[in-house]
Formats: sequence, C-alpha cells, structure tokens
Amino acid sequence: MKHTYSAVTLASLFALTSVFIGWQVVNSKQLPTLLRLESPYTLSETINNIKNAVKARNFRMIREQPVAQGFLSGDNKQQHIVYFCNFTEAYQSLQQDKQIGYMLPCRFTISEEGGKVIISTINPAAITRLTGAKAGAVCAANSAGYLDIMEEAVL
Amino acid sequence: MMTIFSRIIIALFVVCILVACDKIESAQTRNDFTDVMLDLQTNIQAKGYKVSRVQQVDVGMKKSGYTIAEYRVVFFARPDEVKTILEKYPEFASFLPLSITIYKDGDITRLAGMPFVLPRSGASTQDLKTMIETWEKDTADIIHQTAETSD
Repeated sequence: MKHTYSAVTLASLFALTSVFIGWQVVNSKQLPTLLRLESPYTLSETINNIKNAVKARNFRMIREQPVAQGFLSGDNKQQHIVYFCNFTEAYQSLQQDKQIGYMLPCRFTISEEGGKVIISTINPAAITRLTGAKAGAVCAANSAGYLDIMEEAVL
Repeated sequence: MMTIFSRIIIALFVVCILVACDKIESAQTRNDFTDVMLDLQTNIQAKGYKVSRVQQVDVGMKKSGYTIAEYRVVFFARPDEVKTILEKYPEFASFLPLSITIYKDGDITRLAGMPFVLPRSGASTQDLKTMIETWEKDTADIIHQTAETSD
C-alpha cells in the first residue's frame, strides 16, 4: 500500500515537473523580449508621433534624448529615447513591488536601422514572465497598451 | 528506494521554479540614503562606467501629488560599449543605459539592479553575450560593494 502511494506520488510529481518545464520552454520561445514596429515616417516625424500618442493616452512626457547623450559626443543621433510616465500607475505599481525602478520612467526607443525607422521597447509581459515581477504592468498598463501607442504612431 | 526518487523529483521541481524566475540582484544597508547614493556613484565609476543621469522618481511623484520615500534610478554605461551597441547591435539600444535603483524602505536603503535575463536571452553573438554577462556581474558587484561599504 505504501509502495503504491509512493509510486503514485512519484508519477504525479514527475508529470508536474515535465509539464512545468514544457510550459516554460514553450512560453520563453513565444514571448518576444522586445516589442518592435517599423515606422513609415522619418525619424523626427516618428519621434513626434510617439510623443503625441503618449500624451493622448494621459501619460506625461518626461524627456526625449539621443541614447548616446551623456556618453558620446558627435553624430550618434540615430537612436532616441522618449521617456514618459503615468504617475498614478507608477505609484500603484510601486506599492506592489518596489524593485521595478528599472522600468521607470516608461520608454520607447526610436532608431534608424539599415534605412528603416524602428520603434522598440522592452516587452512588459516578458519582464513579468521572466522575472516574476509583481508589477510588470507598470508601463502603459500592459504590452497591449504599448502596442496601441506604437501603432498609433505609425498610422 | 521510492522515497529517494520522490525527493529527487521534488528537488528537481523546486529547482525548476527557482530557475524559471530570474532574480533581480539586490542588497540593503542601514546607512544614510545620501551616503549610499554617493557610494553607489563612486562604485559605478570605479568599474569604468559613466553615470549619465539620476532620475528622481520621488520628486516627480511628489509634483503629481504622490508622496513616496526617496526613490532614485541611476543610469550608467561605458561610452565605448554604447558606441558598439549603437553601431553593431542597434536593436539592443532599448536596454541602454543600464540602471540601478536606490530607494528608502523604512530605516533601510535598498539597491536593486535590472533583469539581465531579457537582453541575455536575445544575444545573437558571443561578443554581445559576453558584454551582457559582464554588465550583469558588474551590476551585482556594484550593488553588493555599495551595501557593504555603506554599512
């Protein structure tokens, strides 16, 4: 009887472990680390479009700067960061998880890559999945919110 | 015999859960926030990084009507690595600059890094992977050195 119980327990745990490993493998492959969207506009037009889309969704613009600012001088102006924040959401998220500073302020990177203008950002859903962060939703409420802003900017 | 197998499976299950959630490097100290902030910036520079900005999250929050304790995000990077990323791996620009968060939590000052599992998982070349692993190690060293030197 005891052996039967152990065998069932062992089989159940083995099955659970297998399912868990499989689930992790599948999810890690499906979820993109970055959200990226090509823009049909020029770099400066896309930056302006992103700023307008961000404001239209009640986020406050913090600043816009070249990625290289503070590190390199000269011509490295093909990659820009647009920082923005919804203070109410940020405050609520900080109440849940104080370690989310790396997501503050929310941001988009707009860059020229091989003649194309690309809007990109770290996927909040990937952060939540890979780190278990309680407040992965701090930026733009969720990945869908980010994508909405990006899509509005390239319309 | 079955019990040993069961224990192995249980251990494997626990390890899977721990591995699945990549931790964010963190440390804490009871020293004064201002002193820890200075130590943090000194330690960042000692590793060859340049601090480009300190985002005063608590100040921005206060202007919007939300009061929180001191909460700052320190942005930093190595200029030559910024150049390499922008020229060779522009898709990784979203991960720059690196950051360490420093905040007050009651009497304690806490330091937290960023989840390097994201850029690491997307690194396409060995050079890039090595660079990201160095960032990860340096960030952990800076955080722990700061907490230790400040204590």
